[in-house]
Amino acid sequence: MQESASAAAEHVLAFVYVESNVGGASGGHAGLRIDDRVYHYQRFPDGTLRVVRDEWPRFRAVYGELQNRPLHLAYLTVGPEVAERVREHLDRAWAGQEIALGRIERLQEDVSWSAALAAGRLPPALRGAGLLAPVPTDAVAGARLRAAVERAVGSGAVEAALRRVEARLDALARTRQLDLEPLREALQERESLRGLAEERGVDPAVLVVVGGDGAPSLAPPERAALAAFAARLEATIAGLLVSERPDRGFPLSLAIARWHAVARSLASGRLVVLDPFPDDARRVDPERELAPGSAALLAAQARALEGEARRVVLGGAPLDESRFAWLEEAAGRRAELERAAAGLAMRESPGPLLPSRGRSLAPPPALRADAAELHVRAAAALAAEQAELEARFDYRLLTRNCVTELVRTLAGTFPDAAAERAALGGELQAGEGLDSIPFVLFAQVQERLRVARVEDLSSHRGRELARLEREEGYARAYLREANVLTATLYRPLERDGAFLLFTDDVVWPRPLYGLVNLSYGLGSLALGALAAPFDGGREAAWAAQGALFSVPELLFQNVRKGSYEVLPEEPDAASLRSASARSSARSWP
Amino acid sequence: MTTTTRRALALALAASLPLAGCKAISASITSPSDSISGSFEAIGGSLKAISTSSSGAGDGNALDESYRRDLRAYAAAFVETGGTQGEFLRGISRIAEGHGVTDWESRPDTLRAIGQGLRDASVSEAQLQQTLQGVDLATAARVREGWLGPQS
Repeated sequence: MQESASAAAEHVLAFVYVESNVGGASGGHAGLRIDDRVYHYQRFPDGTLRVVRDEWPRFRAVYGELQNRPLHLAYLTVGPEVAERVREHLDRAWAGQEIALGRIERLQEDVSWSAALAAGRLPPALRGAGLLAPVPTDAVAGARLRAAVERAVGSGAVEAALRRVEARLDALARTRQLDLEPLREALQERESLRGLAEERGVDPAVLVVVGGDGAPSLAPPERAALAAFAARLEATIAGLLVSERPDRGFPLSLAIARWHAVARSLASGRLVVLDPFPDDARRVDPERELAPGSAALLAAQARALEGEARRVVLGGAPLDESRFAWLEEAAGRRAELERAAAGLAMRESPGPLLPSRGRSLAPPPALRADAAELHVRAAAALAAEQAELEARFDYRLLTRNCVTELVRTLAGTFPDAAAERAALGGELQAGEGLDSIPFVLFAQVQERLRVARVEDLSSHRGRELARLEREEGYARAYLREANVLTATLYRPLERDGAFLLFTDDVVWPRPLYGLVNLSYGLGSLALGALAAPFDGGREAAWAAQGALFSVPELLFQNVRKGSYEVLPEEPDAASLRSASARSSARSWP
Repeated sequence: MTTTTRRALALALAASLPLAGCKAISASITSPSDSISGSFEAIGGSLKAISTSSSGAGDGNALDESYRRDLRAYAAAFVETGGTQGEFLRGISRIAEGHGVTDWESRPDTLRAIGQGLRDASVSEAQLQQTLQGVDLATAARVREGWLGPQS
């Protein structure tokens, strides 16, 4: 469905209701869209409920296209100052959450580090320490960089900075303070400075060729952009050498490694960037986790995006590090998806990505003789902080979920209920039993607040089915697309469970369709039980899920809508068609 | 459908399906038990995010505005939660990295955004002066500029 032009042009404050589906949220989901950003609360693997911010195009792509869920937006009539105020309040809630999460992460590192020190093991990898090679790899370029930096901050500045950090490390080794972050930062900084002083160069293992094999050579404007960026990186490195921020080691490593990647690109004419994936990126086994053909389709999309990123980032506008990071991310993701398309394991991590390859570094001898005691104290501090985090962010099905927290945070924007009524036209209730269910909230919004209009955005399948019905005629298109056996708009996915008929686009026949689906699910379950000794219960689980989500259909309720693996957006239609034709027809189950 | 009917249906649904709403996409990404549904959302969503970034790359003002907004919100939130100077600086790094920025010291708008955040948190002039004691003049001037500037 076309989004209205006015929605994009005006200051937008809208409640978003996302219908249910299996695998994600069977109770639906809720969010608040402010201009082009959606604020919503999500449940995380550690059991916490956190505010998440997504750009509207991404939110719509994930929920409306990949998860195939219809979206409904209720646009409120509010002044720009109200929208701004709500946005600031939500941003502050997000920032407070980031502060709490940052503390937890540091304490977790303290626990890991103190355990390693107490056991005499190498401590965990230091972020960014693996970007530079442990031995010189490009001494000529390294010497050039060091000379350029010392021209800016004075001869001997690198050695002087090294001496300072060594002295700091000596002092930290003798301290009894609980916080190990300064120690990690000093080690990180020393490694960066050694890389610069020893003219080491980037570790070739962290380089990615933009565009892969056969990519075009650097064009003259791209060379000019990269040369200017290299000069900017030299200034960054010089600035960090005299900086007083405690965590300067990581940005120093990154800037030095990027400078070397740029130098290599200029020397060879082939554009290379740093691998952007963190060390803890999830490994995806394409054989097990991706349906055949999907990786090739995604790789084709990624190639198109990488080309676009190269064009935009090196296209003439001044190049800065945040724009360069997009190019690194685009190249890294494309390379991983090409691996998956070739049947190899790939890495995946939520973005935005920043190169940060780590390496374990041996700490100074006799560092923290009190490590065992420190470990006990660090574990206690972590437990206390985690308990506090749990109390603040704990998820509860009906009393602390995506609806209740959205409503509470919104109410917290205003000093009192009267101010909220004046700004929004009314008040919302959260935590009152069923009021904490997304579609009930959406009804409440329409009843109580000053809603200017409601917009319904079809799911991907709904939109495409409507198109086919227009083009081919209702009966022909519907009969073919209503079941998973002959549908062209949908390929069965394991995560959707066992079912035969779509029930999201019918009402009165829904119980009958549900009965068919339930029978199919139960029949598959019986077969799955027989197959369980051989497939570990995989088919039985698929069948049981299908049967379970057929039950609401008997009560006229629809949850399951099918879902998609690849965004239907086609940045490069020709290559997608080609990739699709190459893919095999196997599907699960 | 009336709200009452919808509520009744919601109750039936809640009873028949004890499954939670609001599930994190990232839960799917990181949880091995749900990895199949997560991989494509994660990958497809990531590509969409890059696509959004690339298309917005030409609009430096919007991106810079987003960076400033986040730093401003962070500074205000930090005043509320409290912490050491080191924690404050590391927090800036964390927020800035979310925008692909690691050398945040070289950006004048970093300091102005922090000043704006301090103002949002109702830091008084006397408190500001105390905070900026010992800070070099150029840095202090930029923070003060943000603190004094319009709240936009």
